[in-house]
Amino acid sequence: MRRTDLEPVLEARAVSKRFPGVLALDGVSLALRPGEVHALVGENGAGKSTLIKVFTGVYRPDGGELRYQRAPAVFGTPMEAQRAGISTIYQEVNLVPMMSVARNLLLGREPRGRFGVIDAAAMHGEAQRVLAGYGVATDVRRPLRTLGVGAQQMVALARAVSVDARVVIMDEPTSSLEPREVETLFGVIRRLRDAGIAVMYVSHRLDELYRVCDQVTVLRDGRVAHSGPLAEVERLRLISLMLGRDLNEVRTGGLTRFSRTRHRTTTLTSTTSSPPGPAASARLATQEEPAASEGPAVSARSGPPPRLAASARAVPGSGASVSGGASTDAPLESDELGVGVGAPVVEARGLTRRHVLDGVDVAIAPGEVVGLGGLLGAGRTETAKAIVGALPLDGGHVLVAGRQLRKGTKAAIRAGVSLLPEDRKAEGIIPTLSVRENIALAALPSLGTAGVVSDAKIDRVVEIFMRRLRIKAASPHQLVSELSGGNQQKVLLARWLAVRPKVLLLDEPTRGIDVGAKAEVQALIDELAEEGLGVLLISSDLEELVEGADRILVLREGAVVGELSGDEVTEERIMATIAEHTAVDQALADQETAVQVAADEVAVGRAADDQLAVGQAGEERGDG
Amino acid sequence: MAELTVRGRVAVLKPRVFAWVQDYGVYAAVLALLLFNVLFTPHFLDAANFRTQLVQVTPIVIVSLGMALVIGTQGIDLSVGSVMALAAALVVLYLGYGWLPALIVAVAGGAVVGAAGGALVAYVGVQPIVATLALLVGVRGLANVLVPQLVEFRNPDLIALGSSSVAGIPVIVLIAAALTVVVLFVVRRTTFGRQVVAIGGNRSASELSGLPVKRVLLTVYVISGLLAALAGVLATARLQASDPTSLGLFIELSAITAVVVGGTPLTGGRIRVLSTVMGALLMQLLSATLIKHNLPQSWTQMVQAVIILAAVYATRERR
Repeated sequence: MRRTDLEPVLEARAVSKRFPGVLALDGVSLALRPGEVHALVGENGAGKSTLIKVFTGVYRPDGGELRYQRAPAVFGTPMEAQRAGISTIYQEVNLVPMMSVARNLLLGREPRGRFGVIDAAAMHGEAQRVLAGYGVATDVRRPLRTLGVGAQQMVALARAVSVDARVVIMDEPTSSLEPREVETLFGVIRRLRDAGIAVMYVSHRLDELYRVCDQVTVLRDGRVAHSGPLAEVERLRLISLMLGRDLNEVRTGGLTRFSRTRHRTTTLTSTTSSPPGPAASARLATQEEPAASEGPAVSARSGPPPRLAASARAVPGSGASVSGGASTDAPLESDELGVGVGAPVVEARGLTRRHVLDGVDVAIAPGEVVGLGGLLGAGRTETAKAIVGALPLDGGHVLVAGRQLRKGTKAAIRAGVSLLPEDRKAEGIIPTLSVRENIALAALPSLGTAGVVSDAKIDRVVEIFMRRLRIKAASPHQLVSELSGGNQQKVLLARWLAVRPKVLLLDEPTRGIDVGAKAEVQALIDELAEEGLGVLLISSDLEELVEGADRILVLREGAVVGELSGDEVTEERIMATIAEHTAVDQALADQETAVQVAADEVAVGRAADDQLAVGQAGEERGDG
Repeated sequence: MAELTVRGRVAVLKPRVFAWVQDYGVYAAVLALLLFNVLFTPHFLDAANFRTQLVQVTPIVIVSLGMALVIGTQGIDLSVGSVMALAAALVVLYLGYGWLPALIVAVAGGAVVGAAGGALVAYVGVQPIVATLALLVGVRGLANVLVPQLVEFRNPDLIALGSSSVAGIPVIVLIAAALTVVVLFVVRRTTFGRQVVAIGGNRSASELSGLPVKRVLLTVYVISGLLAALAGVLATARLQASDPTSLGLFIELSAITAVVVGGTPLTGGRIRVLSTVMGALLMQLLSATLIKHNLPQSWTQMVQAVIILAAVYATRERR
């Protein structure tokens, strides 16, 4: 389906876009040709959304040129871009839920009768006709909200396309669709393609990309990492392009501050290990500040305390995963740890939530760093949130030290499981409060008597952690919102360490913080694990993941698709696991291609029937 | 070029000035007004005048203490005036059992209304302004059903509560002062108070930090209801009559004004208790000053509007 001979209908030529402190797009060139389905992929922060917004007139490029239908184009507003024929379908349906389906479809272009009054009959007729082509057969007078999400998505699509579009941009259109609805969508996409419309398809689901897309452009750090026919890029290569890892030369010496030997050794120290808790905090307090080191990562922390150099570390070549075989290598003092080594302190079983998680099992042992790998949208953040009870589940449960956790984050925290959330601003810091109060927040009930807080206790805890984590603030009373990202992150880590957790779930702990703070946070994670804390590490930085984790679970589309431990914990193995077709997937894909055409027809018909059924089931009738 | 440097200097100076105005502006304004009155208003320094002013402002101060807590959670409580009316109705209905049981019933009634509003906000997820607006209307109606017209009473204890003084200071003013200290303590020194502020500052972060968000929200509205009911009883005691039709009308607006003028942002995450009291005093002093100088009520309202806008502007600038 390559039509490179055709003139591009929409083209970005060396487009740049700068935001304060970030170069979001750096000379990006991309050409969309009529009748092609062009995949746009990239990880978080790669510049996808910015590029889409440049195309749709939300942003104006700072440099380069936007060309539309062979002429330079400047779109002042999204409306102008839409009028010119560039339609966008966003992840979330952005229609008016209370208005009728027909109105939504024809909003702003309603057929008018005499005196400019809307001709309702004509409007409904036209809406019915248009939607039938998208497998949506419903009473168009009903309010949009009474339709299923999939059908709403179809209305959005129909609306986008019926605006006489030449270019249709779809931003993760399948994220809330059922498999059957996805089929209908693909049918529509193929029809658009055949009608000579250029489609830009943004998705993280590789299977989908390979099924409908002809061309692919990979963005990374605001630049084009690759652009060309999709069929010529194999999955593994695509993933390595997205993650910025060269398959042939995965580095051996790391840049992170994790000790390289972690996942080949036991994490137990021979003599001084003790439960994370009072003792751990106390030790944090007494330890001297390690001096900053610019040395190679192998030396990891500079000035390590003696117990880190204990001989039980670095048993080479055992290749055993910590949870499994570690116990044979080192003298154990499991009584000191409270929970037997190898026995997971947190065990999540069958975490399930529609469209998001599909039976995820995670077990974390004391002193173990479990990494969660996978592409954006694979369900990593959701897994962490589910474990601490911050995500309503359709199924599954979490056991802490063998006991089932009750609902809610409070129960999880009390049981010793805490989450450092990915979005520091929205879910982490309390901007109106001081550093001191942000640190003390989660531990407040334990830092006082009878509901009255003890300033002395708080000051002590805050002082300990500010010194230990080297939080740079003018004073404990400075507003946390005035600190740098790295220091804010340390404040949040301190907040969690102050509640003495057994397990810490860290969601992108080093994202958006400067290099120095990053190294410090990594070293800290390592050290906490040494002290017996169980850690779940989520990171899009593959190197960080590989060097930090003892064991890695790879997620894809909300399910665990692989577990890597010991020597398997390498960047290429992670990427290979992400790329892997499971047998079922493969079979499905084969089947698909064989009955492609038929499937399209059937899917459209079936979806239509279902919609009709839904329409009849609901008694409610909007009157347009 | 010169213009640029000047602008630069102003840009550096501006946040500091605003921070100062936000922190101490109310105090400065109250002081300035006092000074003005000392110099230009005859008989201003009379003890009787002070007493009158303080007694008049007391209900607003008590109500605005609760309002400050609610606003600290990004909420708002419009039902306070109606709760005052309900308390006035309940206190005369139960006065036959003695003033203390009547007081307890009235305050409990306020707590129930607060719990209803709080439950709607915390557990049902109704927006605070809508939930408490419904209560504003409904509870006033309930109070009017209980006591349809003004009822005078002769219970000496309740009358004494409203009109006696200790060391020259009216008892109700002392009660308001004591409540201020209690709320100040709760906000600054208790786990609950710090959680209130945290929830107002970032609700999802508070939830992830294991704070009992819903329970705290509910409690905040209960406290607001309690305080409003108490204000209603005290106002009734001073009037020596229960008047559910007009008692507490529009007091929610005065209370919100006091909170806002005191520098507590409507966006939550900060509670300024003493400044709220100062805000109430400022508005009272202002209208008293203008009245003493024979300016019509409409002037007071316009000046108040300017002060509110100035306060909101100062609060806004800090973020």
